Amino acid sequence: MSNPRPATDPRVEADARRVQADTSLDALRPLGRRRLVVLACLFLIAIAVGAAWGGSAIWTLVALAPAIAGVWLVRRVVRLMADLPDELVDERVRTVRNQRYVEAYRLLSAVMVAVLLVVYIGADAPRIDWVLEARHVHAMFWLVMLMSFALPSMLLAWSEREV
Amino acid sequence: MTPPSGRNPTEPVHNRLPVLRAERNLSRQDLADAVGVHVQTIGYLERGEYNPTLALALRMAAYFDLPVEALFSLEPFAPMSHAIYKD
Repeated sequence: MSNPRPATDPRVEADARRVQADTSLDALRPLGRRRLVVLACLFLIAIAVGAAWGGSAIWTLVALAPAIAGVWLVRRVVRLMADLPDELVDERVRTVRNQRYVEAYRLLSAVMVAVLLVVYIGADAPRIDWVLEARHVHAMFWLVMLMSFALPSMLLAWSEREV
Repeated sequence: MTPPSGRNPTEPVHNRLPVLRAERNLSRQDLADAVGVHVQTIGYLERGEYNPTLALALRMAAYFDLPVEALFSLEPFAPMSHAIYKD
């Protein structure tokens, strides 16, 4: 039976099929282990943001590498479900990821509000004896950047029974 | 977090997919391939954890050569044995 869909670049489609059939990370795909991966990723992001907040460029770079690896791992554990083109995933996956994108948007909005609040307070620094420095902006940049890449996949990894 | 997998908890859609698959000796993979969805989606449908789109419901009805209301209903289906032996 035909299932019409828009044309996709054959290379993209081949890559998507390869990712969807990937079994190399199956040991991490049961729900409990996926949740551990999510918690580990959040921990690594917190370490990286903390290192940037501390102001050491070396420690920031050292901490960013595992945080980026954690983001990569979370996305691969859910087989890039959050990122594949619409026409390459079935309707249930589209529905599920749309729900998770809405939740990710709400959570990321909360993170952004928190970041803006810090900047707002920093702008009033002379009165509270705290100065907003470049290192703080770097930390907030990495927080928003890493979370925006990871959050939809984290929510899928946390909630889906099967991936 | 919202319920997983596209289910509308206020209006469940009941289906006869397991019975129809068993009658025709089809695996979930066979049915998934025939209607163009992932095999996991058939499992979610059969467990009532996902409500199909109209397009998918119609594709399934066409595949089984039955009216769509024979596959899906807002009311629970009576058991087959009841339908056969009630008279």
